[in-house]
Amino acid sequence: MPEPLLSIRNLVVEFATEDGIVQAVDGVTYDVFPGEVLGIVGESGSGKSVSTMTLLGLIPQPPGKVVSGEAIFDGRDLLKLSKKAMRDVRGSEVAMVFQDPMTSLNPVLTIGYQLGEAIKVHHKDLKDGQVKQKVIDLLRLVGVPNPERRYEQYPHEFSGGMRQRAMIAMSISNSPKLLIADEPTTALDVTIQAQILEVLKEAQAETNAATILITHDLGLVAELADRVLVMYAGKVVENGDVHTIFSNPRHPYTIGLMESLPRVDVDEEWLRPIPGSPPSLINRPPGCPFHPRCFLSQGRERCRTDEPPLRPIDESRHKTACHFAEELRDHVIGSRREVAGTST
Amino acid sequence: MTDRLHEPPLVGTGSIGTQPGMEMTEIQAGVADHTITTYEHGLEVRARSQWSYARARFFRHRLAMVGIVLLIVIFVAGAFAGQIAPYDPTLPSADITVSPTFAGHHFFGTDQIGRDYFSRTLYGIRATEQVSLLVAGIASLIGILIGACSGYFGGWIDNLLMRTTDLFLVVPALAVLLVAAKYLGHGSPVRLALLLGLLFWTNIARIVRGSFLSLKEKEYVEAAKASGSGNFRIMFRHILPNTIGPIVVAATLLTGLAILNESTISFLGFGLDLSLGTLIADGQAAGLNLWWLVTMPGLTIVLIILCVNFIGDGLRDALDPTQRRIRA
Repeated sequence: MPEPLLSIRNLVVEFATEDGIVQAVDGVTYDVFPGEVLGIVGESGSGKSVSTMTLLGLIPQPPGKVVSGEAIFDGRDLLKLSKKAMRDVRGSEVAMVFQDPMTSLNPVLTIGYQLGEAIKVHHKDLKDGQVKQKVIDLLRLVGVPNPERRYEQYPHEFSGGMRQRAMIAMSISNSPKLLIADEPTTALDVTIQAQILEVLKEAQAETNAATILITHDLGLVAELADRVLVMYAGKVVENGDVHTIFSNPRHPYTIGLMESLPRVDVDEEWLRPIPGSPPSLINRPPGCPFHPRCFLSQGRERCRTDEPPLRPIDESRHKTACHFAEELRDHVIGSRREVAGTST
Repeated sequence: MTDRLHEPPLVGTGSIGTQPGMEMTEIQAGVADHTITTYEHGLEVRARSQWSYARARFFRHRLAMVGIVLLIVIFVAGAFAGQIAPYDPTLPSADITVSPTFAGHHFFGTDQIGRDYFSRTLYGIRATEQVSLLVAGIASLIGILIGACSGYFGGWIDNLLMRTTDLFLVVPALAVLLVAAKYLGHGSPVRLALLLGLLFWTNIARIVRGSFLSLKEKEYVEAAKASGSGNFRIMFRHILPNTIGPIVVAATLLTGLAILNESTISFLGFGLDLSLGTLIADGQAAGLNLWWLVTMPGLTIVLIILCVNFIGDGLRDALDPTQRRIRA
């Protein structure tokens, strides 16, 4: 197995709020290998974004606080870098694609200026002409038509899809080793999503950057990811190859997520959401965080008292945090259909 | 919106492989062909920027346009006082106490020792305009620096700087100015401007701080951070251009305030040797019979301030993006 590019160990991030301490990320551990795409899925508030924003020191502190853990990237712990060293990492070794391209570009600066700045910050020796040429090449790479003219334009002259292309161009401008895409398609309409997805793929192929893809769109993960990390209530609940996760999920939450998707091959009237809502992150319930909503738990004592560790199942790269994961071995996605259907 | 027109046509994939076990290759292939297609701009509507809207609104603001034309005339006349003035402003002549007339070359009349008041007013405008523009510049500079640091860094820096600002606000400006002007600024426009600038930056600092407080939470600031930009680059390259509108308005109105204060100080005899305020003071000493000695420079001040305020008003209306319709 190759050396991981990024390995996060036991990361704990808290936010101080008026109601108490919110444990947004609670003991998250995972690796990202060079060149792979890691999809992180989970509901809103499951800690997907926070766990990656922390890597770049982008969570506001206070109220945020990294309580413990380490994030070894290329031999250095990102959480312990000085401000200066962190600035050098940002945008050059680790880059980000933000969710909403409408607000992630500065309205008063031209696209060309903004992309050029991302390059110049890390390559002070480049001449203006070289930077401009590089920006135009990047815009062309991500499929922005007429890049020479677009270079001079302001964000308001770009459509949503074009802006996201520009954002992707910006993120790969310094050939980062790690690309973090935080819900890159959520703010776009479906038809544009497909295009952006393609651009992301190309960008990834071009730079061969390892990519962390944060999303709650399982379709996007299936399209793009090599491995999947499922997060729930600030914890990793399942982790494995994309094929394993989709064909053979071993955590009731993952199964719930998949079964909640509408299917085209079955005639159905109702969506099947996972019953209940995620637990409060201020007063975590003891035991498994998912047990109140779990179809498998059925009130079993162990689920309510013991917190299940993330453990390997079936094969070494597939891990799950469920006491009774073995019972899911023969589970067929959608087999609970009738049960769920009658209960609504 | 017109934006949509730039997009390549819809790609025929309704949902992107939302099914777990689904074959993905087909969809991939289907998308790949379309996305890379580049589209020439067939249909295009010229997108107008916020600035071009603002410019249009400003130009349609009648009072502001009148104000700016008049002010330019007055300021140019002041700036070229040396060339335009028909007489030496300090040289006495035999034409004593001539009342304003268009026939006898003394448009604004003369005083008791025969100095031409039109020339004196022009030179007065020059001094006043130097001071006021310098004050606006100095105050904006200090205000922007302090407000930007305060709003951007927050925490104890914010506290320290804002309490300092409060301190400057509670200081009785006129008293301080008179004392300081007597010992430091007497007779020198630059030093007087420095004094005024050091007292009047507070308003701009507060405005800039407020803007920075809200703008620093914007996503494009986070994006700039994520691409490795340093604090100062973010503050002055990314955030500051977004706050230019309110700053320009405040600085314009400050110019008017500076003129008033300079005139007051000069009137009280603590300011410049020859400015509009000094002229009024001289005229007042001469008594009511020579009414033009007070009226002419006084009206000039009124006119300048009115113009400045109209311009400020027009700018405020023009730079308010929520306002699409023009009133005036």
